[in-house]
Amino acid sequence: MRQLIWAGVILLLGILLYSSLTENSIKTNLFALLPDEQNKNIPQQAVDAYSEKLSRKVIYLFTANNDQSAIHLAELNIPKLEKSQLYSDIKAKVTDQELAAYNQSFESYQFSLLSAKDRAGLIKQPSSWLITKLTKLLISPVSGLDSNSLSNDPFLLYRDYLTELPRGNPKAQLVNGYTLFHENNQSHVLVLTELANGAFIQNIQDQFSQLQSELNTGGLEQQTIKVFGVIRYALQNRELAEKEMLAIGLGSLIGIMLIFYLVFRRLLFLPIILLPIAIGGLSAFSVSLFIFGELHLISLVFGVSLIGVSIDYALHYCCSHSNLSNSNDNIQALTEVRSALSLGLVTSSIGYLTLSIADFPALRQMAALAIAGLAGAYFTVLFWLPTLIKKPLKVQPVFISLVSVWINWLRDKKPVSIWFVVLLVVVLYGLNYFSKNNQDNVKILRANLVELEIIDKYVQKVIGEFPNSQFFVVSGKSKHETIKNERELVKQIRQIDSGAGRVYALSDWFPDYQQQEQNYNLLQQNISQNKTLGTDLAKAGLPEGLLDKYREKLSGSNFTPMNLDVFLNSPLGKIHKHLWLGEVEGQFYSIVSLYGYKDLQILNSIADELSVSLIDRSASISNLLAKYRVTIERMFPLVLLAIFIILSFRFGLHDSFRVVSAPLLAAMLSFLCLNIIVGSYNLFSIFGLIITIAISIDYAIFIRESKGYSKGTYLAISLASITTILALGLLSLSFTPALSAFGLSLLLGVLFSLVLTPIIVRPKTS
Amino acid sequence: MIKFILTSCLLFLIGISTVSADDNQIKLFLAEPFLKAEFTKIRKLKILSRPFTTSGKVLFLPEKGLVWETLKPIRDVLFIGYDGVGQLDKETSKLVKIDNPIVKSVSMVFVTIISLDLDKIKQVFDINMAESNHGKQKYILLPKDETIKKAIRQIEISGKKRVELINIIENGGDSTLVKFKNEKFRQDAFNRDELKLLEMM
Repeated sequence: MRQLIWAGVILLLGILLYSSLTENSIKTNLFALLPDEQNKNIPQQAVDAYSEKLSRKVIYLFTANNDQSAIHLAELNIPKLEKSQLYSDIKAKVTDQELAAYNQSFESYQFSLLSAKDRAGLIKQPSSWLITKLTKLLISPVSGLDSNSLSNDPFLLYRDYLTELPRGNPKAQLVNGYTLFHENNQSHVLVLTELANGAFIQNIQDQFSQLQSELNTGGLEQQTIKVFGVIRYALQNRELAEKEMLAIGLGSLIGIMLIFYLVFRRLLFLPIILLPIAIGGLSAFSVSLFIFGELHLISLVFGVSLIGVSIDYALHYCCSHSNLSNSNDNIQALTEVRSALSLGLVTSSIGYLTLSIADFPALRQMAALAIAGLAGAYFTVLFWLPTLIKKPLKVQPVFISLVSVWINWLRDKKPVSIWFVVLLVVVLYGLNYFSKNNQDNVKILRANLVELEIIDKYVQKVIGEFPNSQFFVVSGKSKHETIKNERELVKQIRQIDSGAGRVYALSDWFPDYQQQEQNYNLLQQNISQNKTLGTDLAKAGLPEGLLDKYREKLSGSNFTPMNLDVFLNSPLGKIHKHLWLGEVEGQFYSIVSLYGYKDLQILNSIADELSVSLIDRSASISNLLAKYRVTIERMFPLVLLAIFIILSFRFGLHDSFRVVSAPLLAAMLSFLCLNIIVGSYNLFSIFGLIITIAISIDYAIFIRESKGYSKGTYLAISLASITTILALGLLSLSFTPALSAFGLSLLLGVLFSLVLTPIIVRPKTS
Repeated sequence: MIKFILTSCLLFLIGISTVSADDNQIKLFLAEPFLKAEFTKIRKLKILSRPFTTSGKVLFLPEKGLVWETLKPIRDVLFIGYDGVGQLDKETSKLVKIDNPIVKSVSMVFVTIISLDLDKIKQVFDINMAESNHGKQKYILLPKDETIKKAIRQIEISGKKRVELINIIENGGDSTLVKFKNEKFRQDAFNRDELKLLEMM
């Protein structure tokens, strides 16, 4: 009956998995691994939207030996970018119409706009500034003054204002409408694109990968196409994780099957042994997907490593139902291990549950995966294995001999003194305290993709600057106040060092109201109302009537200042509209983005001084990693205490201490090795140690629960350790530092546990 | 935007039947760029009834660029380098950089022509030889770049043995004629004040 109920549950789990699984169930975005940042001073949704926009940017750099070839290469490939429909925006060539439209953005407001130099000149030398300027423009062979400008803007006041506006990248040149960079005697055409959808969406990544393979370098070695953007990292991380998942999954499965075959020599029996793993997996993914609606790829890789743990329950039953055990039949064999299995599941679950206390989505996913997976394996062993494996199994003599040697050695040794164990704990704690070196950098969440980093450095060298991932969010009670605050911020940032970087802000595009009013008045006084200007022109050898058209236009004008709304609705302003976040709950917000700034300390101090927010998601993630590492480190003794209390009801205080101390020593030794050999540890190493405790406490419980030195128990523990090492040892080879740290700390922990647990913990009826 | 402004602010014109110039011929013509010369610049603007004439001297250092010192009608010193333009501040006697992309773009074209460096010229212009007149050689430079093409129609360089005259003809109908005389080709041509100016570049 129970078998049937369990079959029904599995069927339900299958249906649940089928209905929950969608194309986007698997996430690769690193930020999805982290809890929501709680900052009530900024509109999180708007800031997230801006960050999302940044992550969708993809830069193409078409490189060739000269401008023409580089442009040709770009023109060869741009249709492919367009055809792919991957991008919602492709900025390749600026047309004359667009340029004219940008220019017209300011034309109606030209009498309110003056360059800093002209403004200062008109204030300081009102009588002579304009004539001197015009004469110098005529004298200069490179001023660019011509009949057209002399007629419309005789002192080039408007032109000089336009040329003072933010120019973008100083290394960029506009050639035939294309943005070109020159570096290493090569020409590079820059094409900016924006993905139509998020960089972490699987089908977008697949389309991107397909497009990459279709790009054509024209068959020439010196012509290259370099791509920069978050999507490359997302894609490669995903491909790597998929490969690792396959390798770890297959590797551990093959290893487990091989071990089972060598120990029991029953080929047909292998599918049955794999059943708890399969149902554990089904249970893990269906329950987790049902709870979270999605799973992160890193959680998934972690889930695959559970294979090595979920096989343990089957192993204990198999060894109990073998020629090594005294049990007469399958039911008795199960009875012998049931209490240990149940206790193991409870204590392991407590260990995994500690993960979910930290508010990390991925950790909660991992905890849910582990607990649901282990429960699935546990109930399969309990309900199905006795039915499926009725006949006792036969362990090969060579393994019996090996276990016998080990048990005899243990029997001959006196149990380690509890005081010695206490001393060891104290010594190891001291050593760990002085040798520990934490590494909480966000980079541990990302695989080391050297090839991509080289491309990034190359692109950075060509472009000469790189956008900062940090940006400021400025707020105010009105649009005017926000822009005013932004001006103050920009001023402070520029005071750092002119070569430190470049600021990109809306307020740079138009002066404040007062200044525009003063500009207008200056022009009226010095041109419209200046009666001697004509005479001065004549003295300089210029016709008096030169100014008539301009003067007439100026005199007939009204003061019309350029403001934020006007600018944002202009053709030029529309390009920069994303910097304005708008009104949220009575506050107005804008973004100031940065290029090339490295000294984050100064930026942070400016943010503090002016009460603006510096958004630094990388730093926030690193800080969060550190915060949760510290929290979990502090929780560690509490977890052990909880397990100790639960176990003391069954084993008593003395034996319960032994059972808990064995995994603790294993974890401490693993931690010491990590710090000495690897040189550092991180949050994920700590997770590995928690799982070490959860797994190896099972070993201690099984030994303590076994009757005498049961060969079956010791063989099961040995095999369980080997299978765990196989699964998690492979995880330590991961290219993602977080997974590697997790795998390595677990691998070392389980190894130490295999050695130490039988020495410290002895069977109850030894 | 810069392109538009450049297009509307740069200027120039002309059109003569020409044939592609032979490299060797023009190499001989450009073989000896002067280091110092006196110039007369005649700026003809459609809007002005008479041309605006200035004169002065030009100092040239192939590796840095040139010092364009106007003496009449007023003294004004411009430092036109390959990487930008500066102006001599009268009060402080120091070089003040002119951070203006249009000025920078125009100066790049100007210094390329004055340098008489064939390789550099050929990067920006197609060179055609015009019919010689009274023993004077004449070459027509036609811009390759679309942006420059919109402003400059063509540039004529002419002279008997070396470049004596440069005429920049703009599409808008304006032009700039620069005549050189008393060219000096040796380093010792510079006096102390001129060396000082060159050092400032």
